[in-house]
Amino acid sequence: MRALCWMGINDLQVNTVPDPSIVNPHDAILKVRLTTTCGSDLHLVDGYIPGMREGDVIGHEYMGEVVEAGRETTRLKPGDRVVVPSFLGCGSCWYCEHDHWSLCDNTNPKPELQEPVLGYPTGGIPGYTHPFGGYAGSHAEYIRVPHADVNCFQVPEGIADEQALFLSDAVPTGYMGADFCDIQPGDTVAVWGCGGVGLMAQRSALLLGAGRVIAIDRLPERLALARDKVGAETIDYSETDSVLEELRELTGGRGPDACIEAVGMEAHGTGPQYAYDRVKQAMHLHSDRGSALREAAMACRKAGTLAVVGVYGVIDKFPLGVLMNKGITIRTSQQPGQRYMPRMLEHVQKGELDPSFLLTHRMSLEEGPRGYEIFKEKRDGCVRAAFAP
Amino acid sequence: MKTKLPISKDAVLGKAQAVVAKVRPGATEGRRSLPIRRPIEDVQRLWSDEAARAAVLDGIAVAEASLQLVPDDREGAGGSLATVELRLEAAVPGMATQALAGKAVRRLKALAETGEVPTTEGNPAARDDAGEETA
Repeated sequence: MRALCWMGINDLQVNTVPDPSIVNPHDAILKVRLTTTCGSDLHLVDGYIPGMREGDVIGHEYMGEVVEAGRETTRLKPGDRVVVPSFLGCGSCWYCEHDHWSLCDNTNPKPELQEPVLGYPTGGIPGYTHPFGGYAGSHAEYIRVPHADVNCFQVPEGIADEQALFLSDAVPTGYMGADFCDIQPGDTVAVWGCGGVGLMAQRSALLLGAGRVIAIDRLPERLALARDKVGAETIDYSETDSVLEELRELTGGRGPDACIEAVGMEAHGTGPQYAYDRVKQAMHLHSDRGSALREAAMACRKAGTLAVVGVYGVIDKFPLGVLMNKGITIRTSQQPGQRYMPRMLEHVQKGELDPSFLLTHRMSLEEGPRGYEIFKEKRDGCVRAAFAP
Repeated sequence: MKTKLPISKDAVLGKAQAVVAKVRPGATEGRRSLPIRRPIEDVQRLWSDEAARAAVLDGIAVAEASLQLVPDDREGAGGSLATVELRLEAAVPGMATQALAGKAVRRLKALAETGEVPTTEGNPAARDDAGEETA
């Protein structure tokens, strides 16, 4: 089959690779119908998250059609149209039973590569380094899904592929961020980032009862999406001296009740701190450019909540004193999509949530390297490129 | 102008040697524990099964492996706390023996709780060893 492979830092190629097959009895093989770029992929492409091997198939946000189901699956049959949360659960361990699916104890085949960094391993995720399991990714014609009964969710009639696709990762990550904020009716929520996850966090915050959502980014087309498609107010951080001051004034001096950081380790910014981060990261002296995270911590009101859904490595200069002295609750996780899938499907069916506008560039798999180039450089108004293998 | 360092070269060397001396030499023995949400008898039965045990220890150069099981009620009624102890055929550096024991006990847990060991066997990739399970 054809697949988009990581061949080295900033080197993606479409190659012919072996087809996947059923290995374990709870596996299913899907024909991938749509698979999308994710901002977190850029950390692998750019080489800031280690653990890739030359030839690895990338991609972790996808939906498809069942072509074969293992002998111990009971809920799936060939032809089923399904969406799969990025992190794989087993459905049997303590973490899955308590709805912490991304922390599954039984789906990471290579925990020994992750334990030295994290202490305890996460669940596995396809196409996202060997410490995260080493499973082949979704930017391919076919993919093997372990524990398919609990990870494959039927896409109901009436929900298009383009809507279902983003329920794999962008929507549950954003939804989780809003859920973490324990939003009370009328709360003001500020969201850093207007990429796929940020826009979904903004929409989710409104769905969960926020009175106002304020979105922060620098790209005019993305800020326009936040206003027009989500209903958020916006701040262009490149046009203001201080996001902190803007937020203070917009909230009557109080500050946002909750802040969601949906940017991650390759944040852009302005000023000397950004320059410092940029140089230090380029020299691989640290893994993260954390300006959005630090700004969100500063901007949050006292006793507020900071939800971190951007992907980070091992950041330095983390402003723990800001959080501690202001009594801020910080919540973070990789997304447990299985927890939110029934609710997300219901929102889409009711017309309350339509993530399909994130798909700005639909391409063939053969165009994958170009899709990542456009996505990375945010050219041509690209929010997400998606491939139809 | 010559700058005088606040610490002598010998002192720095001495400190470095002291740090190096604290690095653990290679070890052949290691152990790791994990809770398993299955009754002791079920886990013991798996460990006694030749094929299951081979799957748990696959790729680990083991001279001897043992399993201890005690009840663990925190994981729910009837759970087990499993400890796998390995003696390897040859010493490996630092904490690697514990990491290998951890890999074995995680595989045992997965097999007991889900009926299968997670694997990248058969994994598509654009390289010569595509399809092989790799650590």
